[in-house]
Amino acid sequence: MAANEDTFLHLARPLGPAPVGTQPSTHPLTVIVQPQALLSVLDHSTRRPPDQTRVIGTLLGTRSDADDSTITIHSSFAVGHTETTDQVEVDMEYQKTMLDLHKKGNPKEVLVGWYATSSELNTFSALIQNFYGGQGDGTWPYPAVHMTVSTEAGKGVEVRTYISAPVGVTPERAADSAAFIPVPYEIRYGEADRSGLEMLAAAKDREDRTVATITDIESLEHALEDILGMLDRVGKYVEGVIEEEDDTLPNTSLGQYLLNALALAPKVDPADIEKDFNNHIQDVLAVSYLANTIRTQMDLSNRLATAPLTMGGPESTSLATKEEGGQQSQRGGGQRGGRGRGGQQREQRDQREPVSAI
Amino acid sequence: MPAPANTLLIEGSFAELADELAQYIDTVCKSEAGSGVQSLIAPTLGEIREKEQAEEPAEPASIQTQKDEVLKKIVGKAAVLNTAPEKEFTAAYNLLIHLSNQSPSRDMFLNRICSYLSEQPVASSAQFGPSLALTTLTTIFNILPNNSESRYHVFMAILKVIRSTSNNAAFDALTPQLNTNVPKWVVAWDLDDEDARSLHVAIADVAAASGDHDMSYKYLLHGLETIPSDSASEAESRDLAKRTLVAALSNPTITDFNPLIDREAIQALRDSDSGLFDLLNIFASDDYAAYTEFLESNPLTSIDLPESAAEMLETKIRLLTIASLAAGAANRSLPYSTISEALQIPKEDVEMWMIDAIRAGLVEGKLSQLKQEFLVQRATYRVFGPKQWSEIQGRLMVWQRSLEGVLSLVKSEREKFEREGAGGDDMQQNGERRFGGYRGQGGRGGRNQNHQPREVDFVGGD
Repeated sequence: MAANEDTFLHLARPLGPAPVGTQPSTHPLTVIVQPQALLSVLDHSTRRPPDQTRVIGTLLGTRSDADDSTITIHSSFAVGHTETTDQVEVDMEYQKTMLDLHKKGNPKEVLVGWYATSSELNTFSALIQNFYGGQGDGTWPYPAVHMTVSTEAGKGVEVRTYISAPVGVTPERAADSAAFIPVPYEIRYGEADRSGLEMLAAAKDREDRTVATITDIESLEHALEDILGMLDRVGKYVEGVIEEEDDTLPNTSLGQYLLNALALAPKVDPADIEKDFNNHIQDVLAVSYLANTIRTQMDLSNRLATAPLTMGGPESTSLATKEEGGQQSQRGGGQRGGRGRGGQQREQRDQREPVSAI
Repeated sequence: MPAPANTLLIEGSFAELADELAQYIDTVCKSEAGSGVQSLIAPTLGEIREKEQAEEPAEPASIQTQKDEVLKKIVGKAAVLNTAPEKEFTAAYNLLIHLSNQSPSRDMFLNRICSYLSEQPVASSAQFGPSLALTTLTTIFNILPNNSESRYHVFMAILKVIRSTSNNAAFDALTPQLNTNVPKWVVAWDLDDEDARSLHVAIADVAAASGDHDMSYKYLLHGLETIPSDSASEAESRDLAKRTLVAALSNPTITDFNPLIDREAIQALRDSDSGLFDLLNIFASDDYAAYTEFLESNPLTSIDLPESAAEMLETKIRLLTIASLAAGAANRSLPYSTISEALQIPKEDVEMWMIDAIRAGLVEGKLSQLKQEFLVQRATYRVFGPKQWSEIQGRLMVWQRSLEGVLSLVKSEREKFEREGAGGDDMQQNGERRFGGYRGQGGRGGRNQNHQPREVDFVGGD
């Protein structure tokens, strides 16, 4: 992301208050942002009133147990606020109620900080930060995380995360000021998140903003195409090295790495693969054959159990089986008829199934 | 979009804040009322206030000069902030940085503050002193613009503090931030070769002090890159080259010497320290036999290598010899006898050595006790030439071709399914076609399958 262009260092967090009974820690902090939190922030931003430049909300997540040096942001909710040139109002009551409600649903998630949808920091940010990091309703004694997400239309989304340190030597000054300390963050997503996001991104460039879900086989195709593209790139580089083109410098460690990666492919005889494959196919077929046989047996026994034994003669039995359904239960009557009907209906489906499942 | 220019947010005019800070400094150093900084700057502050409140705005330049005067006095006394209580330390320093940051001669003030933090211990807190200093130093670092050369000086001060602390947490936090940032910084700060070198060497020193020898070597190597070719044989570059070389040889995990040999500063050692250079060549491409031969004529102490490194060097050259043997093995198998001969070790130790080599990541393969040989799956090439590159190309081509095959098959099957399967909701067609495919592959499987519909027919027609 473009935010990486400007660099910062984060080596130690400011000495803050410590939970009772533990040493205060100055261990550096990292923030992990999960995509759903980011999505809900962006969603909030798109629904803001047109005259408001930024909106804010509460971040919820977990702290790592050992030394609370890793903060994971799981989700967020919007908090209403109004900003004028000389004052800011945050709906504290709402924030508190929402937090309580959220805690009922997700007892493990705690308040970790707040977000604003503008990269800018101002003195109101300092005020709100001190509120979120304060005692009572805030994150105290842990530092509150402030995440800014720039949401200017037409530009890339930039995320920054901060914690704060006090500034000023008098209590009054310290109350409405803060030194924001940038801390590193990481957006961490799983496989499922990734494919979900890819689908969202696919709909981005379409007029109707819709995209059909892709099937497994299509995603396999996409993956194959991706890999082919990567192979192509590597191939071009290697070709450049061999042809001794000027703009490709041979890098021995890269070559070694490639060779190591390529050596991971198992060296097996094609004939062996053929053999293994055929053996496997035979196993699969044997299993499916056995499964079908068992199903046939069950069908047979079902029929035998529900066949109207009182009726003599093979002709009527076959008639009953062919006519099926209601007629059958009428004939069987009583208790057994009821059971028989269920059996029959199942049977109807079963009859087709062995054929279609092959 | 750049980062917000200002991360220190505090309300209040310069005069108010300066007054408060001066008062605070006076309290910390317990000076008598009337003789502290506050009284010293009071007249100037008064003038600034008057000028700012005057109807006709005075020239900004003259106010600025006066502000600088005040700042000079405050910063001059600010060293006493090191004795401030640990809870107030950061807050007070932040305010000082905020005030200094507004001045045009910001760099001068901030440099002074840096020296307070890096050279004098934080008296009030023995336990958290270094962390407090680091927090404040990083704040200074972060508020300076990206391309400011002052950042370089601040960074050097940070390294100094990290080096002097016994606490490894700061170093651990620094490491991941360095990899991508250092090259960018060198460009952004517009450092000349010499400064860039001292930056890399300073990082290497810090790494060595924290016990991370791999990283130390890495940055020494980067430092070597900055030596221009015409000064490669100067005494200073020679020392650095020697240091890097010794670090590489005596680090058990470094087995790739190719990046080292290409450096001009190392090449310059050929004349000045021929013994060390020869040893490097042996480690880069030769085997155990050459090493023992070398030792006969040059004892380790004669080439500035400690005697204690002898055992490690011997182990390393043996492992490297294994790598060479494995890479050159015909039809991928390496008899135990060849290994024991080349390494000059008893035959029963061969497996131990092979396991060590596998663990070091130099080779991969299977040991066969029955056949008394090592089946090579992968070997590290110590000399990487055109032959290896074409091998890569060959393997890439094979991979690409087979993947293309898979892709076209998947595609055609999918299209076939869409053409035929879209209308019919029953899976039967699909299923039969799939089996049709199998039948082509495995004849017997197909035949088995033929029985099945008949079985089903039997059930249905009963």
